[in-house]
Amino acid sequence: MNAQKIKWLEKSPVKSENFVYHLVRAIHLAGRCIDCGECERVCPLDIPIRFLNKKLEKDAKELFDYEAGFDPEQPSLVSSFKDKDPEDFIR
Amino acid sequence: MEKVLDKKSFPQWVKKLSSYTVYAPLQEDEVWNYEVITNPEQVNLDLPNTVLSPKKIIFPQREVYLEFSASNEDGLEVKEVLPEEEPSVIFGVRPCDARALTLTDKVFGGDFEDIYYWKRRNQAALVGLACHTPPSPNCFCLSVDGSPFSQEGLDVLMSDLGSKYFVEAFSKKGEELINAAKTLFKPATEKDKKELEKNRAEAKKKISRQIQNIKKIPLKLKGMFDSPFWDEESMSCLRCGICTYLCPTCHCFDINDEVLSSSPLKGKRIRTWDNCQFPDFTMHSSGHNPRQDKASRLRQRIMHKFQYFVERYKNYQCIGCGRCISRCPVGIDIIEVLDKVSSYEG
Repeated sequence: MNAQKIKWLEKSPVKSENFVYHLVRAIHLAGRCIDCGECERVCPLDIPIRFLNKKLEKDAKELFDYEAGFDPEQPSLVSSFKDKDPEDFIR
Repeated sequence: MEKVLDKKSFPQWVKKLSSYTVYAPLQEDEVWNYEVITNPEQVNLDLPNTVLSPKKIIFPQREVYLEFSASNEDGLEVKEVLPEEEPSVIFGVRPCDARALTLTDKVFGGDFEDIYYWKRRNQAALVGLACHTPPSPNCFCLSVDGSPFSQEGLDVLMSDLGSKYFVEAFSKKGEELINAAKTLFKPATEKDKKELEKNRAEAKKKISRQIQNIKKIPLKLKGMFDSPFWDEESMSCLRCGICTYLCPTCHCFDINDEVLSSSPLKGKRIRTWDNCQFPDFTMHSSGHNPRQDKASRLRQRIMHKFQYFVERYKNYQCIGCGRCISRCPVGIDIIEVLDKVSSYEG
């Protein structure tokens, strides 16, 4: 119950909070987004939501050779690892 | 006061209003929204409806109530932050959106006046734009006691007569706007008035959608609180909140303290728009949530607009702009829902 009480961002729709919201949202889509485009179709203010999503798709592909949406048996990106996964970020 | 204004002279009128902050619909890519105008030539009244109504100018998405800071003694210093002194003019207001403000007026007025709302409301002059064609295929203002040329909530109404605008003022504020550029306006002739009447009669006929038997709906809804009807209707709802955020009559808000520094303590109390379609909207601090499911939230939306508000304020809390219909990602259509309510037997 306490975990739900952590405030990750304020309710104010200001640059700083909107920025954090979109970053967190996009990062959660790594290995998940299949670029169907519904998010952009629906947004009433034409926010280019796919812009950040595509960066995460690119990273999933380039860093982990992972593409979402083709193989229903494929495990999710964030819950699996292969031995050849890059480790250069571990210092 | 009935005048006509050549369309070519319109930017000059806007120029003469430099002592006001001028808002008008501006297009960015495909999106129309009210923005502050810095160049009078930018004002373009040839538009479909805006995404957000001018409500956001009077009742902004975010505003500061007060600032607090710990003083050196034991106390807390609290400073009220009122909206700034800023007379404004809003151009291109559709009669339905202006009528919406008269409805939010009832909520923010009455026994407890909301000083933040009224400060902005009282210093804004609204210049309407009559709808000779419906701005949206989902317009239904006539069903909810509105009209494409309603005066309610407006200080001035402009109606397009081809090469010129028919301009009417209904208030002192409106007359002041016209007098600021007196020489640009000519008195309206009988010919102008006849053309206006003709346009208006046709405008009414162009509104294609309507709510059937709306007068019976409030009472019908009263008996449907516990009905499984709402489970079916809300099944596809994503609780994205678009319907409520775009609605010109919706007005729920949340208040939060945002702490900028904890030592020394400094922060602000902020009001933001809230949304009854979000699951946490009615979450109590105990963890109990009376509206846990989508059915209860859709029921809330419909009943608030077409039963509770009618009982309390004798008006439907809907002005028929159709934004919720046009923008719902899953096609939940408030007119269809109400038609089903009308014919529901259960």
